Amino acid sequence: MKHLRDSEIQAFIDGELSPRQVNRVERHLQQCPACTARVEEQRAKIDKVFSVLNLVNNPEIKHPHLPLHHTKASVETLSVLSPNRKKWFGNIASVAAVAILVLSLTFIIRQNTLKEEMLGKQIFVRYEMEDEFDANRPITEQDYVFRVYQQ
Amino acid sequence: MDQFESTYHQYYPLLWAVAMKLLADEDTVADVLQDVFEAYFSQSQKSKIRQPKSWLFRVTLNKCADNAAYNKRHTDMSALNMLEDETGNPDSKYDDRKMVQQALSQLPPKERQLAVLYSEGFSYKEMSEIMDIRFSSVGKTLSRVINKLYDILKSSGYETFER
Repeated sequence: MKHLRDSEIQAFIDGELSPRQVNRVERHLQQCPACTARVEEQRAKIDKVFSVLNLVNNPEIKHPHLPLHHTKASVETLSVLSPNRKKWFGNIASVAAVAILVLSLTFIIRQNTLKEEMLGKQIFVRYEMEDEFDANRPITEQDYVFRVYQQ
Repeated sequence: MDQFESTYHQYYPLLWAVAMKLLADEDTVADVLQDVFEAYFSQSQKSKIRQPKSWLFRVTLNKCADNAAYNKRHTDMSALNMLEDETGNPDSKYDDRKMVQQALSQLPPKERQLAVLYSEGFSYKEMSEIMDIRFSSVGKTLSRVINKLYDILKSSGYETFER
């Protein structure tokens, strides 16, 4: 009695054999416990491998921007495929540009006013130690306060 | 709906699933698929593509193989062991993807592609067309690939295999 080949077992499980081949395999399996066990073993292996491989299933699909150049056809396709993205992209870009402009302007103006305020005034910053200053300990572990003096 | 658009809608999700298993990174996959559909568009302008499905998958697999992420072979299974240590829930999708990609990356490129197509439910005929291998050798190769993958996953101690 000739045993089933691995490829036959695999194709049998996958339902890829012709009706005549299926017939032959089934007849063999009826008389051969060894091959029946092999079929079951292979089936179990396939199930396990599938269960891991299909952990990746149901991925959130991300559509790419299709190219705007080339032809009119592709431009039309783009607008059909992602109508909202195209419309919103322009708006978001302009809003972002205005926001950046306003932010940088306020920053420059603030810098200048601060400089003017500082001119003509002298500021001293000094830290004063608490009474019990221990010279053997690092300065970061000592208590002290910052005082700001203006003239 | 024109030809291109219907093809896009029909195959994009499946192409996405296949490429995701091979590359495990959304941005990379989106880039790859953009290239694929650009190539498909310009090719279909020149001449009629007889079997769009096979064509798209063949090109996608090739483009995935060109990608750096695909060629990086992970010899150590550190991510897998890490999952195992966490005793439990590999429910974070990213970890699962990395895990699957690392297990697959232990296989030779052709076998890896076959395993992914098989797991997406392709028929032997489709697989032989896409991979350009003989129909008669699909079963044999698949049987070998399944056994290899099973051993890889088992030796990595992935928890599904402990139950």
